Amino acid sequence: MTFLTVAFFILFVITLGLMLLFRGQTARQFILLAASYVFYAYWDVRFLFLLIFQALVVYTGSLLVEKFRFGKPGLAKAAMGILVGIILGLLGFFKYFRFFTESISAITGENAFSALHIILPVGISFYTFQSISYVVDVYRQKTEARKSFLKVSLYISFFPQLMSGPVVRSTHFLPQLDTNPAITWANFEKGCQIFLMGAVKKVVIADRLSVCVNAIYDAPAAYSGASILGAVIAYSLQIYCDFSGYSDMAIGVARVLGYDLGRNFNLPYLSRNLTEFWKRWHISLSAWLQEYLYISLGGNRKGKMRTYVNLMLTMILGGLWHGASWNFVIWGALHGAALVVHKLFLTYKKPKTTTTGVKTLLSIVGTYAFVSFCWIFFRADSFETAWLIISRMFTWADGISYTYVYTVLFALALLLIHIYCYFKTNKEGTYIHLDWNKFLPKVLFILAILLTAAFAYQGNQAFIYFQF
Amino acid sequence: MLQKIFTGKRIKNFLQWVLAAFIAFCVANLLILPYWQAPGWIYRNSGATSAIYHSGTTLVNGYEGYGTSQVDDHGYLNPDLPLADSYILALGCSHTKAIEVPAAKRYTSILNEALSQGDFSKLYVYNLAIDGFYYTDIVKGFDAALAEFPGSDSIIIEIPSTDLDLTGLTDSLNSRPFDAAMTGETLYTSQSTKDKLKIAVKEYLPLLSLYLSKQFVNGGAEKTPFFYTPATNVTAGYGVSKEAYLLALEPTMAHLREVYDKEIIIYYHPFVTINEDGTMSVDDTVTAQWFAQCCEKYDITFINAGNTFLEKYQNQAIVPYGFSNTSLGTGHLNKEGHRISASLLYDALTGEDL
Repeated sequence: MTFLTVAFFILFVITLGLMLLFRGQTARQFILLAASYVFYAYWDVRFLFLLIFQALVVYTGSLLVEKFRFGKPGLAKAAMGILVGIILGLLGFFKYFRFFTESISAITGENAFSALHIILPVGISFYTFQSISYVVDVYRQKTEARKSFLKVSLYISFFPQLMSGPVVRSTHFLPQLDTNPAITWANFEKGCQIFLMGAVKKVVIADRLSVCVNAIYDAPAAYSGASILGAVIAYSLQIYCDFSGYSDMAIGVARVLGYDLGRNFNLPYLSRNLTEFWKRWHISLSAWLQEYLYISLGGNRKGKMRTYVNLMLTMILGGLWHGASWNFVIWGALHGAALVVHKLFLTYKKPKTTTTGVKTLLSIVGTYAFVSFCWIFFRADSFETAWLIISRMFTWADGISYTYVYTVLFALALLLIHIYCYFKTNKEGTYIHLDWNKFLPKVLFILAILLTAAFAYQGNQAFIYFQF
Repeated sequence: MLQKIFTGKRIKNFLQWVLAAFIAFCVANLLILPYWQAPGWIYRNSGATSAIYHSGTTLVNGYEGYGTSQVDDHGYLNPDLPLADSYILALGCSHTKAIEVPAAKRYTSILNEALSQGDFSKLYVYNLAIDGFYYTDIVKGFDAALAEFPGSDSIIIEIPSTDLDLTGLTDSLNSRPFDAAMTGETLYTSQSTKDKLKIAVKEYLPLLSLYLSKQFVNGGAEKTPFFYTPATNVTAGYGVSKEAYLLALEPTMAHLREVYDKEIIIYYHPFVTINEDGTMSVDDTVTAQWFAQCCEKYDITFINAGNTFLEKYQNQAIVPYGFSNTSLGTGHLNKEGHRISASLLYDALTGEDL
């Protein structure tokens, strides 16, 4: 089930209606958990058991970790390690088993595991990250192990962010579950608008851009260098609008239900360097990687060289998290290397508090160009395809001339929006808020819905991050 | 409780929402006009085609390519000009209708301009095309087309596929009758008030028309015009023997030749595929050869655009299908495709290069 379906709309209306009817904290959380399970089971009921199993393991395990935390730190650490191992083992089995068996088969020539067809459960990476966040936070005494299975399972399977994030940390979400957030008109108003903005990004912009991106990435040898450059730009916009669109919809739905998921994107293409980019792009995942991987590896506490190694490792593992492919490793390594270079640069040249407009502009353009270049490895289905795209683009090769109208149109529109947000909101992106108490915002809101429906692309385009 | 709900403030707020929805709807319809405008579609059980557009209206399509068209007195997409004494009738499906390209860029318009020799007061090529008007349907409506448009010097029949449904071929011999009362404005006048209202809604509320249009409601990439597929399978799975094929096809060609003794040109433009290695291939099947043999037998000119498409691609990287707002190689004939088509047809009609 995805957000933009009739099934979801019905589920959401029923959930909201029941929550308005039953106002008790436990009752509401039970309704949300039931809705989350329906939401997940709608995709494949078999994997609902996996979700429940993981929640049970995390719930009992974290209680054990907490029990050992006082007096038996060694046991607590071991329990935490085993728990994280089980959680990662499940992820590894579903995500990388096929890759390993195929690799083994390729080496040995025998297909010993051909009977096993492992399907990747949708959203497993996201609820795995949340589970780890909870277990580690309990171990680090940042949060208490909750006695209520309802709360733990709801934290892991809260339906707005179950499939593609944002990855909400336990310290952010569990305190909200300890209260009974009110369902208010103000939240409804804001939530609906954030959701609509996400829908526009997804179905009007991202899905339309996918037409050009898919065509060129499927047969790059046919297209001219200029057309390929257009597709590379188109993909940078597509992935941003697709992923931030999903995040916005998740944040909007959660907001209507009274919950805050935090912010996941903050005008990332306005970043002046890679370090800033990762503070603006997929903020929840970046923060998770920093908190639970980079810091766990030692962070910057063990000298400069180790810091650089940790950065590289974090980014390479972050790349591998997207899938078992060399392209993702290269993508992560490129970002890791760029982060190391930026850190080195900062070591020798302290940043000025003020920079000139031209320098800032060049930094933004340079960062965007580098990020878009890296997306080639992320999008291409093989290293050969990525290399073909790069070589044809940089040699300005001849071929079909294909200037996709929507790339130009959306690039201009997004550029203007970014410039507006840059100056208007003190370099911070913001959600446009229409005050429904006034008449004109009512008209604009309905107009936006009507036009979104009219200009929505009707092809079948799943959310890009569902596959991860 | 009720009193609480229906306080003045709530009622005012509710009414504001209703009014806002109405205004937004009107504004959305206005904004969408340059992108999408669909004339009323009137069905009929006689005539060359099973339906025609409401005369005197405008069609705008920005969904695939971009084009605006005027509906003439007969309900087809042509300038409202009288037919020349010597003219060509072009029958075909959505590729000939060509709402995806500007009216002047259609192959029928290019031919018209070339054959008119500067006389723009008359029509030298008449475009008689609607969506899904494939070979079998064309045969079915052929007699009626001749009745409504008598005296043509040549007839072009455009087909995107030669993989034809054999039952459809047999059925196509049951010609649709012609009834002068079921043409153009006369047909519209005879519509019931309910049907006229439906037409008016479609014409004046393009937003609704867009929501309800087939490609919009059906969803599914394969069903949209972006990824247009012909009515019958073009793949190797067609599985019909040559004997069976010709047995069903020949009577239709015999019929065409029997009722029309002047030049008939069947223009076949196969679909293409852009391959992963950068080459382009033509989705041709063996039936094209059988079809060509049959045409030869009945003295019908058969043009297969496949080789020209390949030549143009190899020499100039030109792809005949697809648009800058969809993907190339899929969908309908684009401007280049129409230019190539016009050139091939002009050569067949006059023996000269366009």
